[in-house]
Amino acid sequence: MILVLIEHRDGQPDIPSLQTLSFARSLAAQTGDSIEAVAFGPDSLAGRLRDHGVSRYHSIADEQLMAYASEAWAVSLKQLADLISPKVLLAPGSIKGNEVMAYVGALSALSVVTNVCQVDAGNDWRVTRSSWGGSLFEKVLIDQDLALLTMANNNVEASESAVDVCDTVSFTPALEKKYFRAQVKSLENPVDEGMSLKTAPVVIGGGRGVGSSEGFGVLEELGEILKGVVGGSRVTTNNGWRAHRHQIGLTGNHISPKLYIACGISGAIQHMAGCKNSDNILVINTDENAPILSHADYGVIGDLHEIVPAIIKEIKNS
Amino acid sequence: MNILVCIKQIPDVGGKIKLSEDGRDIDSTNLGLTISPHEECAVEQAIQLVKAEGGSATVLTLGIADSENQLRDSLARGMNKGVLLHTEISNWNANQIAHAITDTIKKMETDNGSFDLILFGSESADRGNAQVGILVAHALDRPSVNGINGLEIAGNIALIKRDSDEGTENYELDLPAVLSVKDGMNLPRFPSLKGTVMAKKKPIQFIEVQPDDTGIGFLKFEPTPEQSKQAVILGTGPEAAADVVQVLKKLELLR
Ligand SMILES: Cc1cc2nc3c(=O)[nH]c(=O)nc-3n(C[C@H](O)[C@H](O)[C@H](O)COP(=O)(O)OP(=O)(O)OC[C@H]3O[C@@H](n4cnc5c(N)ncnc54)[C@H](O)[C@@H]3O)c2cc1C
Repeated sequence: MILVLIEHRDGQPDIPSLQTLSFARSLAAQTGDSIEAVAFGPDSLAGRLRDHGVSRYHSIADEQLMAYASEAWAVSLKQLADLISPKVLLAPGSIKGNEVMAYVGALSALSVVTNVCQVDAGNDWRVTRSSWGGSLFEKVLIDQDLALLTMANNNVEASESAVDVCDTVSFTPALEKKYFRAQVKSLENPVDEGMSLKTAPVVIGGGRGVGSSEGFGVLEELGEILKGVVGGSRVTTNNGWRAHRHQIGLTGNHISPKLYIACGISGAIQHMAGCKNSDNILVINTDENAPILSHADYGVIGDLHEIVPAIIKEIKNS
Repeated sequence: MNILVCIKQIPDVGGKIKLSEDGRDIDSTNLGLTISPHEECAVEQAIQLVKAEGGSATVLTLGIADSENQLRDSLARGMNKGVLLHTEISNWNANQIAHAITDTIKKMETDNGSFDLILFGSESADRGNAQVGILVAHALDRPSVNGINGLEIAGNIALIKRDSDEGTENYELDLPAVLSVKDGMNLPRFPSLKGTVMAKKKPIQFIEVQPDDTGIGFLKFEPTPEQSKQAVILGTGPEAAADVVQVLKKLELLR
């Protein structure tokens, strides 16, 4: 049996959890296993879980576990796994999913494979995981009675595939006080910043070629005209030209605009990890061999400090 | 306050990763070497805390002899001493790394007293398992949070902020604790010239280590499907502006 950890909000499984269930179904098709789910949440999740192929839902509704506590969650999962002996414990590749599973691994003296993209479940299990910030695949071999896996993000679509019934069983873990030593004390709601790098239809990115925080002035101006948002490469945040919350890339924002205009950015893999989902990329770069040109749709070769003002002027004239 | 920061040397790969023939390593010929931005922020945090609270900041890495350069770089920024767990074997898995680091910490703590804080980057820049910090925390029986975005020390308590999908989580952890840090928590300083000179004299302890036989079997790396395209060059210099505007119109971003 494959056991899937479900995260939920307002009584509904979240998208990464539903994607994880889609992945679980493809794995179950190889192994012939049934799919069960576990959540730190109410009985009422069962309906949606049934729509996504879950035949049994283990509800852990202990009040003290509703505020997230990594170790206490992990101990609960381990106790449940000891009781029902799944072949696989699979979690979304979220902050919590990865953290809890690392603890489950530590508690069970088993290894965890994170960022999983594919499993070939033959005699020995060959797992393909996303590595180097999504730039490489890594193949690993697991040989454990219980495979502990977390998903690569957005690797599969969340799709429905209902089963007839999903019965709910409640599980009550036995927990010591010490497992709550890292527990969320309070949660601040995310601030709504209006249009953000994540949602803007046009993003203008500046890199080392911008040269200074003042250099971003023309990018801001172009941004205003195109109703876009300005971001930067890590070089620009690292130099204090832009705040880190404006960083685009692996360790910054992941953007998916209609058009990304990359000015003075070379196209390091970690930068591309954050912008490769843009519909179109326009590059402005002095170097006709800049690596970013082989991920882009349009390029203009030359100094951004001349080209961006010329574009602004041209827009105003037309 | 005594702080340990664990970092990892990686090749600075730039725009494309080349693999060795057997796919088990990155071809790092002609590449610079660096550490992850997460780890740079962990180093910066340790330097700031020791400056404010007193104590000592140690930087540790497990890697090949050349990793000494990354230790020296952290020492040049202001860390006080270094530890190099030396191995010429590549591709240690998370469990093996955690075991070697835990053993070393236990020995260091028997000799010099406990670290108040042990910091990691939230995930390494190469294989990015996001496991080692928690494995070490568990082995040392200390509380831990992975991928933190803010840290303040109030007496014996670490006040922690972490961004999740739901918003910003607040934690209060008793020290000693193990934390892993996310890029953006602070603005890492660059090494000064004076710092670089001083770093040459700061002590580094070398310890030989061997991987045990735990953990996942690594097979190889493979390239992801090449989605490489070649940009249409609209032109050179400011004269290309008119063509850019055509593109903006075609994409219906301008009328
Ligand atoms: C684990 C890890 C995570 C990372 N995460 C991120 C991340 O989230 N985001 C990120 O951006 N980076 C990240 N990096 C850093 C990344 O590897 C690169 O160092 C960085 O993206 C380079 O930024 P850049 O393109 O601005 O600078 P450079 O690589 O220095 O490129 C500058 C470019 O500007 C061009 N140029 C110079 N002058 C001009 C001019 N006047 N007009 C036009 N063009 C000009 C040059 O030809 C060059 O192509 C990460 C690195 C690691 C190891």
